[in-house]
Amino acid sequence: MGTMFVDLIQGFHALASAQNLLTVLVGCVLGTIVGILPGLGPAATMAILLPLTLGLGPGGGLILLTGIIFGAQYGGSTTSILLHIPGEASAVMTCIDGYEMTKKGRGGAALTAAAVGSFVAAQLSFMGLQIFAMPLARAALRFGPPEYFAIEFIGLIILTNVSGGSTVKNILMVTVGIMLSTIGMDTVSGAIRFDLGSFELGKGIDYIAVLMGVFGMAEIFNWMVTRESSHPSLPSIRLRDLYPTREEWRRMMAPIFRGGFIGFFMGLIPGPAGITCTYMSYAVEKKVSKRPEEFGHGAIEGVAGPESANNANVIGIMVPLLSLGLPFSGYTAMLLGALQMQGITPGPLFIVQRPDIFWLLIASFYLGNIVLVCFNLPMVGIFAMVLRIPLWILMSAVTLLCIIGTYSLGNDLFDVWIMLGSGVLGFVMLRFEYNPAPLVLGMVFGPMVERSLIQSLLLFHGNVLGFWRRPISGSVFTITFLGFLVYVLLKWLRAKERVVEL
Amino acid sequence: MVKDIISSIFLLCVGIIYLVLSTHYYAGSMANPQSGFLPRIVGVIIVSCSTLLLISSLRHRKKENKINSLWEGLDKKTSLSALMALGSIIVYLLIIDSVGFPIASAGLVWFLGWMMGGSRQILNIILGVVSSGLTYWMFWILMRVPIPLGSLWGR
Repeated sequence: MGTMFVDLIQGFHALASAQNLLTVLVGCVLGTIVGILPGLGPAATMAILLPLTLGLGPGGGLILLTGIIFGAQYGGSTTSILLHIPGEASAVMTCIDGYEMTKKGRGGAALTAAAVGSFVAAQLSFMGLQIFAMPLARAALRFGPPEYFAIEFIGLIILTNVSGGSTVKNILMVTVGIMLSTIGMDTVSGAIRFDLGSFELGKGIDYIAVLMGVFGMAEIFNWMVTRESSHPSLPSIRLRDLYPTREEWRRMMAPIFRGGFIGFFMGLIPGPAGITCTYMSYAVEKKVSKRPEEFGHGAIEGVAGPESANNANVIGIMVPLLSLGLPFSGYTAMLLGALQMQGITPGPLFIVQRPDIFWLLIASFYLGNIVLVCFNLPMVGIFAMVLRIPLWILMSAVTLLCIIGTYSLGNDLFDVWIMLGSGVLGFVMLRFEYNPAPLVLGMVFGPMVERSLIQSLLLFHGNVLGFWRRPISGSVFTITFLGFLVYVLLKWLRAKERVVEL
Repeated sequence: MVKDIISSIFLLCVGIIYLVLSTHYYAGSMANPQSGFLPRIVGVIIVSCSTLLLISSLRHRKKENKINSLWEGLDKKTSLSALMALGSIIVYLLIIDSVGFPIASAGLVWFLGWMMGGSRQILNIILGVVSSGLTYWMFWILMRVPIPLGSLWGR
């Protein structure tokens, strides 16, 4: 623990450069703005800005991207509470009681509950990240291909079940993602596959270009056909309105800790835990509350709990990425992309070999949250003025940024064509109710899965039972199959109950 | 559901084509898997899952809506401008090498602004010039990305 503290101090020392401090500020402000704006989500913004991180170095790039994620959480809660517009999906639960509080003239207190909750939960989660990531990374140093394959396999299985919507559609998206990743050079044998005689295809499809398409361009196309309003009227919040009463402070403290706990541990599970954990936190608060009837009518617990869970979750999802190199969400896939663009591969060796970047990142998390809580609350009115910028100005400029950003990945127009095609595909996927995240994660995981599967089979001479001869991979596969059996059994029992009811 | 029927047929075709193409690569054996090994597995999963989705959506078709559901929430005017925007990006990508980034980009943003609802042309032109200038400065001057400057002007 003492070493961790020293490392963290060194992280703060590294952070104390003008460029890094400015990057934290820019990331937080950008994140807040996109969190406030409906239409352009943090995932799209991260995707668009990904190429810009090249010029910032590995530390600076990560600081910028994580600043955007945290800022978006704060920004999303502002419009949810004041305008009943969730800037992003994970802020939906905050809308319910947050907006009711605004209608009762307690919008300022709700904003403070959200900000303080996010801040406290984030600080607790940072400790969780430091405690979990290091030992997990050290343990992972002893992992071989079978262990990695087992973790990747269970990760993808959970992802297809919890990503929302149809499981079959999610499986299809993951496999289509893996299929796209097989285009180009085979990472094991070096053979060129599915190039159809094209030199460009032979180089493979850059998943960052696909990511920018399905998250960035698809959002723009979707906005173009739906044209959401960008001129809501904003209630005025004075500085003194931001102070919660003593009773409100008392009522929000326990939900903050519970929400933080739920958010952090759900972040360790693959899938869109950012949304699920807010639902779970809200349900828990309603269940344990002495005044459940107030939920839906302006209960401060309904704001503090989900907001804390939401922010803690962002830190939870970093654990598998930083310690194992496995991104289980769209955000972490983008962070992985940013690191890979700098020639760094996250994983157990990342923390051991590049502790400077790891601790710089942790220090920037702390500072980013302090910046957000200090700036966002007093400047809530200024930030909300962003809503008055016509979205067509923003969207047309962002389209150009998407194009030139993708071009700068490899100075190749082919990447831009891929991004544009992925944008159209992402838009069609939205219309056909397919989730784009499993597709991108399938592309990211594809080469890893192929490498670890082939190496494992070579190691076991083709005997798949070999996975059960190793404790970690054996336990992971056993848990997966038992989980699958329970799932099928429960489905069968429910179907039987329905037949009996009829 | 019509959406699921269409998408599952499309994915089934993709899966079959991919599976056929994967036969060009030697799969090896379980003890010695080769470059065609994973593509075969992936192809089989895509074909199986899309068939499953097709069957289940055909079974529930009667309860669900018609082909019109595909266009639900889409306005003819905004959809047309989205298509025009897509077309303009394609044209942009085709001419950027010869016209060069600054001019092509200014033109693209001007047109996109117009298509996205900017009714005052002077504002669209300013937006185009400013966006193009800013991105040129950011990527060419700051990040030294070798953006195309236009073969027509001999650069």
